[in-house]
Amino acid sequence: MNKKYLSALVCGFGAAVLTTIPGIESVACCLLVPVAAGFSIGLYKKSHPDILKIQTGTGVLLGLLTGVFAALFASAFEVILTFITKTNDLIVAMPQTEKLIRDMNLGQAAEESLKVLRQMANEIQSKGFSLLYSVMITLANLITYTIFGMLGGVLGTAIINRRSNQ
Amino acid sequence: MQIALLKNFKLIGTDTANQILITRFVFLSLLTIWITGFLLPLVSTIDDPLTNFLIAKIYSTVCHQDSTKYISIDNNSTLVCARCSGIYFGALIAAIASIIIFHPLTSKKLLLISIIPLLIDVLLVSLGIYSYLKIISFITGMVFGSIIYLFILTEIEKLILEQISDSLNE
Repeated sequence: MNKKYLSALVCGFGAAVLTTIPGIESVACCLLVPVAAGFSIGLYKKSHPDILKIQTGTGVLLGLLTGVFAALFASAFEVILTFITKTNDLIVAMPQTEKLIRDMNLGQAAEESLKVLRQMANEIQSKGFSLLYSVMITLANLITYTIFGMLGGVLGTAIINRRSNQ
Repeated sequence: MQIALLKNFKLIGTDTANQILITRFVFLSLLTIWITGFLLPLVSTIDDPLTNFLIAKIYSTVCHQDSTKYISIDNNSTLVCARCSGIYFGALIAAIASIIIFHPLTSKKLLLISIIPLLIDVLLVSLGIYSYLKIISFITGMVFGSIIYLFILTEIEKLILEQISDSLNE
C-alpha cells in the first residue's frame, strides 16, 4: 500500500476504535476525526523526512482518507457489536427517535418513517443485523467524518508546517 | 509572523486577495448547507422516511440530540441542541462578517477566553445550580462558534499565504 494512505489508515482505524467507547461517540466527529487527521499528517511527514512542507492538497487528501477509513471502520465495529449484543443506539434511543420523527410534523410520512424504524429495530433485536441500518449508518458516518476529516487535514497542515518553520 | 504574512499579502496583491475571498465564500456556502440541514424540520417537510432518518442520523454524530434541548418553533424542532445551533449560527455570523471585514485575525488566547462562558454554563447546569436554559446555551455557543470559526479561517489563510509566499520565493 502507498505510504500516503498508510498513515490515514492507521489514524482512521485508531479514531474508529475510540468511537466504540461509550460517551466518546458523540464527540467522535467534532474532535476525534479532526485530531486523527492531524496525526495522520504528522505520521506522513515523519515517514517522508525529505518533505519540508506539506501541501494543502496533500493535507486535505490525508484528512479525507482518514475520515473515510474512520467512517468505514466505525461502521464495521458498530455492525459487529450490534450483531453480538443484538442491541445498539437505535434500540436504546427508539422512544426519543420516535418523538424526533413526530416533531418533524410529517403527517403520513412520519408514520412511514416509524414503520421503517420499527422494522429495523425488530431485525436488530431478532437477528442482530439490519442491512438498511448498516447502510444508513455507513452513509451518515461517511458524510460527517469526511467533512470533519478534511477540516482537520487543513488545520493539521497549518500547525505542522508552522512547527517545521520554527 | 502574522505581520510578515500581511506584508507579503499586501505585496502579492489582488490575486491572493481573490483566493482568500473565494476560500471564505466556499466556507460560507458549506456552512450554510450544513445549517440548512439541521433546520430542515423547521423550513420544509421531506416525505421520504429514509431521507428523514438519514438526515437525523447525520446530525446524531455531532450532537447528543436530547429532544428537551432542541430549539422548537410551532411543534417543529431543529435536529441539534440549542448549544450546537448557537455554535453553528455563531460560525455563520463570523463567516458573513469575514467577507465584509477583510482581516478577521484571531488568536489562541481569544479562543480559550471564548470557551470559558460555554464551560461555565455546562458546569453550572451539571452541578444543578440552574436548569438548562436554551437561550444561555445558544448565546454561549454562538460566542464560541464565531471565535473558533475565525480561528480556523485564520489558520487556513495563513497556510494559503505561506504557500503563495514560498512559491514566490522559489
